[in-house]
Amino acid sequence: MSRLPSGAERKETRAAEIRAEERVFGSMGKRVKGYLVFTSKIYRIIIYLLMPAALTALGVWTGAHVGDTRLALVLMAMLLALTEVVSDAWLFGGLQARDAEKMDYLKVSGRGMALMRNALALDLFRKFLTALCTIGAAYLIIGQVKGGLQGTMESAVDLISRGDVFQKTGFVAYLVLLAYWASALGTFLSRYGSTFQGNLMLGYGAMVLAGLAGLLGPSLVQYPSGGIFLLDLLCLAAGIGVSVLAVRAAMGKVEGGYHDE
Amino acid sequence: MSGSKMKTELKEIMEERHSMEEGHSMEEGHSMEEGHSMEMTGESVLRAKNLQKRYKGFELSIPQLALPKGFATALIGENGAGKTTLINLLTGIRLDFKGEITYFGRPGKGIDGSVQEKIGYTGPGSYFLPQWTIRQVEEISGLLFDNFHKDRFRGLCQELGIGGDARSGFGGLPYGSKEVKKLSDGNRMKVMLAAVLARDTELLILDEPASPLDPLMRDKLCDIIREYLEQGNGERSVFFSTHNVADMESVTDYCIILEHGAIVEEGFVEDLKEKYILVKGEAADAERAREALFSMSRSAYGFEGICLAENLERLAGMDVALETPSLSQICVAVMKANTGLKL
Repeated sequence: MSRLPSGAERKETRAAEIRAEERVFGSMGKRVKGYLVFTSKIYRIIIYLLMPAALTALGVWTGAHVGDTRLALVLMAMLLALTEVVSDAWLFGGLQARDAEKMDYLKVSGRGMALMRNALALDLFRKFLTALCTIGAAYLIIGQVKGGLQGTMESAVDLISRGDVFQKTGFVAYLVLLAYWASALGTFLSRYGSTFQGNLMLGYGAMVLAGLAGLLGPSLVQYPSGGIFLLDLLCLAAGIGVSVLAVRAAMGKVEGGYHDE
Repeated sequence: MSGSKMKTELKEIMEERHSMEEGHSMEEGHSMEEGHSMEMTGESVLRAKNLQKRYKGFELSIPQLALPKGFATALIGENGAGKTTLINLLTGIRLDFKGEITYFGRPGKGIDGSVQEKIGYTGPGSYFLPQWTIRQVEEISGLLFDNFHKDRFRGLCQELGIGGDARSGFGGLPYGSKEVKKLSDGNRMKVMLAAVLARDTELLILDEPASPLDPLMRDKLCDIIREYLEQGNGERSVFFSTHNVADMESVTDYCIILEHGAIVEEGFVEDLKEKYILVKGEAADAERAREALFSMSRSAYGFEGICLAENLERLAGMDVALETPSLSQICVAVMKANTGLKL
């Protein structure tokens, strides 16, 4: 008589099947479509369009008319961290809800888990793109506004403009990566919570973290200096690490539903 | 009815039933093994062997399970009997169990993506992500299953009256933008049904599909199941759990009764109706009859109970009327006889 498979063996087999399905999932177009089906129309309008536009406008206004460019961009990084963590409850809030690990409809499809993992990963990538586009766009527009119609960046006299072109790019990249890292960290921690209020509190925490790091980080490396690239690397590594953890935590919760975990 | 006449009738009935039972087991291969269990021995769509799943204070233990191919099988049992646990094991929602399940006659394969493509499952609780809209359900279904038909899904949504006003939706799908969590339990079940019926499947596994539905929709559900089986020409099967036995009886071919994580009775409904007899008698005979009856309820005017056909002779001499019981009456009797509750 053949030996019956154990629960652990079934789990291993299932994991192999999920990996196989991910390969089948294939093209980037399919992946994007697989992610977009998790988002509603209203979510897309608000998170993909209105939120970035509003943050960019606020950053430009602050940078051009109120404070210096650095403060405006740090403020943007802070607000990005807050809104991204809070809005995650809208998209994947179901993951954090009690008993949500069931999600039976995904489990009874051979590619349900692959679809879920893909959506979680692409949403983090979307968070990065949002940070890049909003902070990058605000920086360029502030330069244009401060520089008049000629749009010379050097006329934006503040901390950022003191560096050379590479250092300035490194500074903006630092704030982009910082905003992303704080968002991803808050998102990762929110996987262990279960309420919208929890996401809000974590959002505030991520915001403060982004603010402190945004203001103190460049001073620590005595900007303008090549040290800003070290901060870039640190933020990039931390961002990737936290992203992996955020996806794993969510998938662990979902796949744990297959077992007594 | 006089006692002597009753005696003669009982004898005739018993002889008739014995001959019918013999005929059945020879013609259809249905056996009457293990006391009161009538196991299915024909072609099956799903077989399980030595299934075991333990929770704190509960154990599901099923040595043999076979769902007949081409029929609708009802899984019946009281709350906590293990119905949902069993369904979760069969659908691959739970993987941590002991035992072996064979799907569609492919031994050793277990559940995988290709098997899941052939199974349509609806369940209670967190089935969809709560913030999904009906439109998202449609789009996600298309990605999750190769055999999902969008047009059929929309047609079914309209047929089942999800939402109501088609003009308020998109492309004829009412309330396409309505979130699943905002739907009533009944409408949520309809969306689940539409999603699984929009696929080309060979087996439907439905966990309590009738519970959230109104009587009209339950009738519609029976029609849907019947139509699904008919269109399959014997290749499609349905397995559903239910507490609404009376409403679902018209569509039930085979019945499995589960109590305390174990199958206590199973068989084709026709066979069960021959195995059990509904007995009605006068109050004066109630105490004597109790010993022969499987279960009994009594009032000031008389008693009513279910008796195993093989025990009919023990009612000899009593003034009783015999009737064919409904499936609901059989199930209640079997459950009463096996429940741990004091009723």
